[in-house]
Amino acid sequence: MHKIGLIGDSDTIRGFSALGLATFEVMDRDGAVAAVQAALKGGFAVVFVTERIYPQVEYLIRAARENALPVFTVIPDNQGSTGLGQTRLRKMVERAIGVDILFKEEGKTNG
Amino acid sequence: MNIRVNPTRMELLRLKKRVRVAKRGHKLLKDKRDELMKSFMSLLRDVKRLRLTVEQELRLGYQSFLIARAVMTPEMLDEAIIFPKQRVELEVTEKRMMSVTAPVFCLRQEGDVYAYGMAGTSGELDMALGVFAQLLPTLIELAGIERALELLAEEIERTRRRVNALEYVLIPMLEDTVKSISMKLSEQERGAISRLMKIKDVVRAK
Repeated sequence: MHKIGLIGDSDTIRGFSALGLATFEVMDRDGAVAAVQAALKGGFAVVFVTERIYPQVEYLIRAARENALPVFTVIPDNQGSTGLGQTRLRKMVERAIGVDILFKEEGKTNG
Repeated sequence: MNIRVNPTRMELLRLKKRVRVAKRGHKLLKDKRDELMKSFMSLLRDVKRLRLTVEQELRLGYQSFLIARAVMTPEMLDEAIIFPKQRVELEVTEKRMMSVTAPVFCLRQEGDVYAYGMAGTSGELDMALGVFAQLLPTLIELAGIERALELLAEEIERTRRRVNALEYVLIPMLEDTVKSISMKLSEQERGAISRLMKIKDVVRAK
C-alpha cells in the first residue's frame, strides 16, 4: 500500500490534510528540496506539487524520473493557476510529435 | 557513404541479408511509432479534459476553504482539521501498452472526511472539504494518466529516432556498400575475361 503526498504552502495543504494526505509544508527553496527528498524515500505513489514550488525542485524530480514511483503531478495552489500544468502538457506533445498541436486544437474549437 | 569491408562474395551475401533485416525492422518500428502516436493522441484528449476539470474544481475548493477560514478563528480551524479521520491509500498496479509500463492507481478510502463536531465549525468548511474529497479520485486519475502520457511521449521520441536512424543512415549505407561490392566484383570478372582473351590470343599466335 502506498501513500499520497502533497507539497505546498501552508494555506494550500490545509484543506488536503483533512483528507488524510501526507502533507509537506514548504516555506522556501530549501524546504521544497527537503520535502521532495523526503517524498522520494517515504513510500509514496503519488505526490502532488503546487505550481509555484515545482520549478524550484524540477531538477530533483527530473533526476528521479527513472523510478517508477512516486509520480509527481503539478496542481495549482490557492492563488490560482500559473498555467504550468498546461505548459508541461504542451512540452510533452512537442516532444512526442515535434510540433505543438495543442494550440491548433484550441484554435479549432474556438473558431 | 559505405562501410569498409572486403569486396568478396561472402561479404556481399552477408550485407544483403543485413539490408533485408534492417528494412523489416524499419517497417516494424514505423508501425510501432504510428500505433504509439494513436494511443498518445487519445490519451492526450483525456489528460487535457481531466486537467481542465481539476483546475476548475480546485479553484472552487480553495475558494470555499478561504471563506471557511474567514468565518472561523484560526485556532478552531486547526483544531477541526489537524487530526484527519480519513485514511487514504493507493493500490498500484501496472498497465503495459506498446512496451510502455505505466502505473495505474486505485484509491482506497477509509473513514470520514468530517473529523470534527458540528459545534464550533462552519458549514463552509464542510463544503470545502466536500469539494476536495470529491476531487481526490480525479486528481489521482490525472496523476496516473499524465504519467502514462509522459512515458508514451518518451517512447515515441525514442522510436522516432530509431526509425530515422534506420531510414536515413543504416539502410542507405548498407545499400551503398552492397552496390559498390557488386560493382567491384563485376569489374574483377570483366578483368578476368579480358585477361583470358588476351592469353588465348597469345597462345594462338604461337
